[in-house]
Amino acid sequence: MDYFAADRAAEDERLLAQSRLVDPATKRLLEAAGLAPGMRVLDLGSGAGNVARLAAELVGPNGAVVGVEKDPEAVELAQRHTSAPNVEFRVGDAQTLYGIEGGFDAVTGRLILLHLPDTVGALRAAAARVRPGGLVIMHECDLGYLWASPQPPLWSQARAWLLEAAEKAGIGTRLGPALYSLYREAGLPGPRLLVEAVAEGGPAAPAWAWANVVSAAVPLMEQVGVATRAEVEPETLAGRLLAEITDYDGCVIWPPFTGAWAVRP
Amino acid sequence: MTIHSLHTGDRVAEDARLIAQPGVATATKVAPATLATRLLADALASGSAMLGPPRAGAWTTV
Repeated sequence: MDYFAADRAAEDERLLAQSRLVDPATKRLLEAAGLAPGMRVLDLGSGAGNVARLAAELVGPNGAVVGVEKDPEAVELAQRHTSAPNVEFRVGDAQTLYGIEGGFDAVTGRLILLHLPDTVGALRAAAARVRPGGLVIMHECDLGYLWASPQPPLWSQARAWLLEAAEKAGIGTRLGPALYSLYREAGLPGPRLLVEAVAEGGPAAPAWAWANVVSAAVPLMEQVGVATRAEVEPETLAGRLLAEITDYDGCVIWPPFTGAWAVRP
Repeated sequence: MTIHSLHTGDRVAEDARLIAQPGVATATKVAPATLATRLLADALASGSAMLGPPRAGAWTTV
């Protein structure tokens, strides 16, 4: 959560709420990839713990999940929201995985490669913690896709702010579609892929989710000179985005998530 | 990926006439007969995955 992070409480709420939007797709991915009872799973960048908890449901009481997260406060948040005794969260670096043992049956990661400086290195480190025949499963999004349809002025502006700030900071925004190539570059077999997106119009449209992402990126935007807090107005952004897309009778598209999975040779 | 790439090649080949009409590209440039094979070879050489167009489903009650 290095790049798009605002204050702590807001970040916690953002993590949990946004995680819930994608959880159904992540669960389908984990099932398609073959996560099964009894497996021992390593979850990279476990954040609020949603993916670890989904994995724990699938591996059952005879399996186990270890979540690794760099942010100690996120680890505490994940622990507070997890009651399963076979889920453990550790403070650690998903980039290097120093100190994390090997021999896992599967490694998972959602929206983690986006935050790492060396994605291919991270995939190699993750694969090294999986036994031969084990699974490497990643779930990443495409922030460069349409955020709404149509794209009214405020939506276009918010999208442009975020993408320009990310580009100036050298942050990859289209990791989802790149997963196949990244797996290959990491020396893994070409993964199977599953792409899904959530879209909704009307008063329940998840404009708030995009507002959260944009608001959390305000410090970055200011740092690279793309937009100021006064221009973004994070406090009212969600309401304004929802009002605008509703006025246009349009829908909000939460980014397409690409799921990738491969068996380690 | 193989099947998708071939389907995409077929689709572009089918559309070649449409592409040629407004002067975007000539059929000679598109070379529909070999396009699927070339697209697949290109994807394999670059380690790319083929992305089919997103399909949005919509339903409502009246």
